[in-house]
Amino acid sequence: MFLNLLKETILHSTLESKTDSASMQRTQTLLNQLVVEGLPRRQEEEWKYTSLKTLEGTRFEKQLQSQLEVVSQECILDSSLQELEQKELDWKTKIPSQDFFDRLASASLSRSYILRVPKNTSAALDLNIFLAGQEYLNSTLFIYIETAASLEVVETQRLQSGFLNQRIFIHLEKNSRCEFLRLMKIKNETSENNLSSSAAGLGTFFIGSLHTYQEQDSHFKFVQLGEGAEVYRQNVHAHLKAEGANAEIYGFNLLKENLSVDNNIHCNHWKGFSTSHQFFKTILNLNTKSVFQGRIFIERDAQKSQAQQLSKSLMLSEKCTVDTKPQLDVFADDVKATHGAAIGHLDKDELFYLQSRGLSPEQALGLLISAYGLEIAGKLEGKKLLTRAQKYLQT
Amino acid sequence: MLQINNLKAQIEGNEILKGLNLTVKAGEVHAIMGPNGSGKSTLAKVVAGHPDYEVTAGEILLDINLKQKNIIEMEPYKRAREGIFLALQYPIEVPGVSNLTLLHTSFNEVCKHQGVEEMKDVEFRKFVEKKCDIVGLNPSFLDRSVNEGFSGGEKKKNEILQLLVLNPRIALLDETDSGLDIDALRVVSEGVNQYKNSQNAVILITHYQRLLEYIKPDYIHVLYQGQIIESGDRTLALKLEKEGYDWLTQRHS
Repeated sequence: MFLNLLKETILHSTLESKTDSASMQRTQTLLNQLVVEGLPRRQEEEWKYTSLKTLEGTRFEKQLQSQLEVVSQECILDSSLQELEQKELDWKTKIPSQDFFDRLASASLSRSYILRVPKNTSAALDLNIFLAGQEYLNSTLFIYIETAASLEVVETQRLQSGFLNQRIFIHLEKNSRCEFLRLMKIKNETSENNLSSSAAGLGTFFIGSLHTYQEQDSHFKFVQLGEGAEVYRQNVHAHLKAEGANAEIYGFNLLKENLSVDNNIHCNHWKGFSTSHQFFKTILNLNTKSVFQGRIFIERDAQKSQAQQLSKSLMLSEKCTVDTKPQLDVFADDVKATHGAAIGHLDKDELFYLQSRGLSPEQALGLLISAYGLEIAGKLEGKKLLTRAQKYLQT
Repeated sequence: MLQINNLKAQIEGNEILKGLNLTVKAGEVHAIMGPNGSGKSTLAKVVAGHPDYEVTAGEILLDINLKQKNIIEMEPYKRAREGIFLALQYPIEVPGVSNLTLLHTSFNEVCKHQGVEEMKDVEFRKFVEKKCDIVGLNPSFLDRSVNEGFSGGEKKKNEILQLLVLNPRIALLDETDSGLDIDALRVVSEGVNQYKNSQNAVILITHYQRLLEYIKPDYIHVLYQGQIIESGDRTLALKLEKEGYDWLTQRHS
């Protein structure tokens, strides 16, 4: 039922956009397939810890007041349907294993863009998303960073209600760099001064995937700061396709009451001397849930690769859940791969120490929480990005 | 300034302080000595308001605005703002919170409470750097996380730095001399001496007479089994150094 309704919504908005009958036909066929397939169930390993029941029980309208804004002075932008369909095929060959929601997002290429950073240049990109009105918003970005070029991305997600299904593909050519900062905030439905915000974020769904395809000595760094949603599923899958490629994927979520986050992180080492880092931290309030599934895959050829993975959680309430699952598939014999997980409570002695210096319990807690997040924000190298992240943590 | 009457306190059902009395006036330095496990650290923590301890009887009276007020129910941060400072025996590491941030936040809160003007970033840093000099800490320590990766001596110096910056009315120093080498002991003592004046008071908890050569106490108290069983002047410390506690504890039991 849910998928049938969503199908109608998508077809409706596809009809309204300038599309030809061939691609309309493709959309229809794909959606029919997905309806038959059905939403992923918890029996599937990748969805073991997050239930989509609430998503299934919600009806979404077509996009009207929700917004997606792409701002860049330096990137070359293209959004012609023909080019987009070309890129779609291109990425299907690059990364054949696209999941249910990836394919759902591919059904409609409206609000989708191709961005190119020409070689030896640097560029900045702002991605501003506002989700409201119980709407379904989907979007695809194909980003190409040419040889020795660099790109800084700041994505701000302001989520009020609805379902954001997003795909981002980033191709990093030789010696290129990309630093990507994602800042998400729950926006209260009611006016700002309404104090009964216990339901804030419920009815908000984000399922997004970011795939990188990285060539020799390319660097990708991703930092996400957020506060969770009813479902906040973040797939970040790095494909280190050539020697010396490097991916760093970090996140910090201070979960608001009743909300959850589900991080699904893959680092795939296809060639040697490639390096990857995964580090995710979560602070959990009452009735919150955090999932971290981190996979490190090292192909037989990828000798001398190094991979690190760490997840840490701080539980502020007795009623909250943490699921953390490392998965290491290592087929090369001369590599370094480590993983670790820690779950704990706030240190009472730290709290007392700060209070004994005159800080109120709220101040002490605030200081400890922002310190917890600053460790993640501090991974950013770009000054502008770092400032944005620090500012985010202070408010 | 501080008057403790018949104080009883327990932790997890074990009574540690069993009716303790102590009166401290402005301008005085009191040293508290006594065998291990007699309740010295407990006394310091109870005065600072550590939540692990439950006060079952007695009172802790602090002069606030010329009136004596029982602070037993007062939260630790309020006590701190009223001018009680505890230098911990084992200073806590707080990863991610910079020394300067903690000092500045504390300082401003205390100022606000006492109706004194707060300081801006640049001004405050200069002010603190001067205090760093006194305790022999490189100003680069200000940008490091509180006590994280500090040596034992550096941690103790950092406590004294906090003391000098916050300038409280009552300083409780819990074995600030333990783990210090001879030079560090001199520097730390010098810091305490710079702090000390006729308006404030120092309560030193120590095992060793050596500290008392640098910081001259007016009174020595011996704490044993949760009570002060002997008080005297500096000669008492010298006698303890020579003879140990046996002659006192035997007399007491």
